[in-house]
Amino acid sequence: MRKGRIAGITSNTVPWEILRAAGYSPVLLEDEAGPTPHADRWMEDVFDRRFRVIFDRLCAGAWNHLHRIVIPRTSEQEHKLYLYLREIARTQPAGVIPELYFYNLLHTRTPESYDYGLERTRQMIRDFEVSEDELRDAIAESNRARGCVRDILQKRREGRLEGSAAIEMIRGFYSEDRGVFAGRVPDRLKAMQEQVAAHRPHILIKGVPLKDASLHRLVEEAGGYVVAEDDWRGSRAAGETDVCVNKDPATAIFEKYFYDEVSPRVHPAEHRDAWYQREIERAHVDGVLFYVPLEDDVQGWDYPEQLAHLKSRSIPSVVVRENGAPLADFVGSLHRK
Amino acid sequence: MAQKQLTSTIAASEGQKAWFASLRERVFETRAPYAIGQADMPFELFQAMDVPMVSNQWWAAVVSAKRLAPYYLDKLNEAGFHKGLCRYCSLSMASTVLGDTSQAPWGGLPKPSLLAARLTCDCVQRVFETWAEQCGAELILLDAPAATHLPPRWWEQSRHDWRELFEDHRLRFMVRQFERLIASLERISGRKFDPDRLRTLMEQVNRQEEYFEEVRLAICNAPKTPVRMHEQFTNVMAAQWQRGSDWAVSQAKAFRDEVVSRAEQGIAACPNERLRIMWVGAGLWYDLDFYTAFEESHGAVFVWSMYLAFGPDGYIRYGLADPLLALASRTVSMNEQLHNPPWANEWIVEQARSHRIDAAFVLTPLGTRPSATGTRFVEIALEEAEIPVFSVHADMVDARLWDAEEMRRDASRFLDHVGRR
Repeated sequence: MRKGRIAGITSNTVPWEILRAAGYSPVLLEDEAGPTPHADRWMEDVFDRRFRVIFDRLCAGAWNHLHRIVIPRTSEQEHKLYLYLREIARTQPAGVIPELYFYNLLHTRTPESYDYGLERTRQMIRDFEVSEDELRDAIAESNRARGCVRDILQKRREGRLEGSAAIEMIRGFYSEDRGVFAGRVPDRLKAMQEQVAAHRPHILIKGVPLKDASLHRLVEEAGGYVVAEDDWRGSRAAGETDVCVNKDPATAIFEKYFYDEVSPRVHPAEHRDAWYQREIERAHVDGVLFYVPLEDDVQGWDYPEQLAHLKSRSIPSVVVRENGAPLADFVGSLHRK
Repeated sequence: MAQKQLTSTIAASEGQKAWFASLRERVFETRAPYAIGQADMPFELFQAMDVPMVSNQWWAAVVSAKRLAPYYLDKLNEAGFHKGLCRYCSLSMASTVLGDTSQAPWGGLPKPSLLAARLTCDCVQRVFETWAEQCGAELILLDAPAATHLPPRWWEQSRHDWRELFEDHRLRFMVRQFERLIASLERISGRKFDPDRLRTLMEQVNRQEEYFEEVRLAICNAPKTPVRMHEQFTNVMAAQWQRGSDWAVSQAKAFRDEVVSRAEQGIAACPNERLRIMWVGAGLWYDLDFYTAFEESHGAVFVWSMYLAFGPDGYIRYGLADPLLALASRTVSMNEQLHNPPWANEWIVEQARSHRIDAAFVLTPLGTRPSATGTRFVEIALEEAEIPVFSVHADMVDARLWDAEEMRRDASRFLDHVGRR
């Protein structure tokens, strides 16, 4: 397998396997501290901090270790980020922005979107000039890492791993070579045998995508145990299934990202909410924390119906707009079932 | 509200009210099906199937203009939807399912059979899902793959070379989605889709937009604009929502005749015109007086908005052998053309130059966040073209965020500065 080049990716639906097969080490582009003068000049306030940082650092040439940037059609902010970067690349001196690639993956679960997405996936495989054998190797590596993510989540369900620690560990799934990740996680998990969650209320976090584990830590400081989060950086990182190894690789990769990944654009709603509904039905949740800042323009539309559903099941919940606000009182009011 | 100067404006307003009254009558008395859809949906398909469609944004504008937006938006917040959520696309829903719906303008919207939207943001599907559930209406959503081929000067290719411009895979995908929409329309209306009828309608749309192009040219060439911007709104949008119909084409022609005649006679909308102003963004529907507020004090006349200008460049399609494909090309890239780089900034600068614009007012929507993207690129492109920019941070329908006095004061200061240049 060719190796050595780094591809920056913006979220969970960039097909890691295709990039890996093409010799890239895909790395999730993260938020980092510091001012964002380029973003302040070109971007409106509507963009999340992480996308502002990505735009800023790329325009500044600060991330020149990246050989390529791959952006999926998984959120509108990523779509706009692509258009903005494209325009900067067009109008600024050559070489400032790494080569951009857009993966037009749609999330409406219709036959047309399926066919379109499969064709776009095949096109990406052609564009990156990868062989079927290289894809199969990459799929095997990626699936091993998914297995490790599930082991992390299992450890947490057993009450032996704090939510914040789980989030930190899962981070490697997006930032490391997945082979390396899969090699080091089992030993770390083996060492975690102590029960840390006894009698602490189990909380599920739902809402806007989390950028790190800071909200988890606040819950933990208040005495809660974050047992899951409806978030691709956490409980949903590996999805329900692996990339199927008994199909042609293009179809298998596409179906994984089409059917089993998180996106605000998934429609219909029952598919979008299926994971969350199952978690609630499993009855291991003592309370739900909705993290919905006023800058959100997506999750807030689902909230009233989700709140009504929780009330019908007598599951307490709280809305947190900023880190902290009513959180400690809420956690203090909960009891482990 | 400034006096209407054109008889075609009065006819357009009356035509729209009459259309709406007849829609209510048909729906309530004969249970005829009708649809509510986003402004960037292919209205032509509904027209060709005799299923009337109300534009979501148009209705939100009407509710806002009647000063009812604060009431319904408060109801939306009381129902648990937080205050930061988008308002332009949700106000119509609120006016049909929350609070006292009988307060809505002109008796309110009857219950639709179909709700339809293109997914150009991440929230509109949720608004329409909620709405469809509340109304028991069928829901059709069209997905929106992104453009990756965005060559310069799109408006020079969009009329004849649209197949190449809009990417074959996106066009074919949109046609397949249209086929699903058509199947729904056939089921709802009990009528069979006729591609020849759509082709004829598309030809009529071309004619309508050619009239608008003549109006645009008259505004560009006249020493002083013969028609105010807010009268352009009324004439153009009344026709666009029913584009291709006999009424719409005839309304566009009447508008063209009147504006061209005024230009030929040297009649200015504002004889005091000294500064030609461009408005970038959706209208301030609750304060249309803003657009005439600076005529007397500064001779500043709003002459340009996207509503008229986009008609010819965005809608005309020649080569209608495959009318569905041509319609797909009209639909797939509206968001890129109007709002996002590189297409929106380039087109708007071109428009500013051809209209001899002295200054631009650029709206950054506060309460409709996804619509805000692209505005910085537009502002910077205009400034680089030496056109001064006044940034307006406001919502297009939510008057709760608008301080009319303060905005007029700030705008006056800006225009003082522009006038001294």
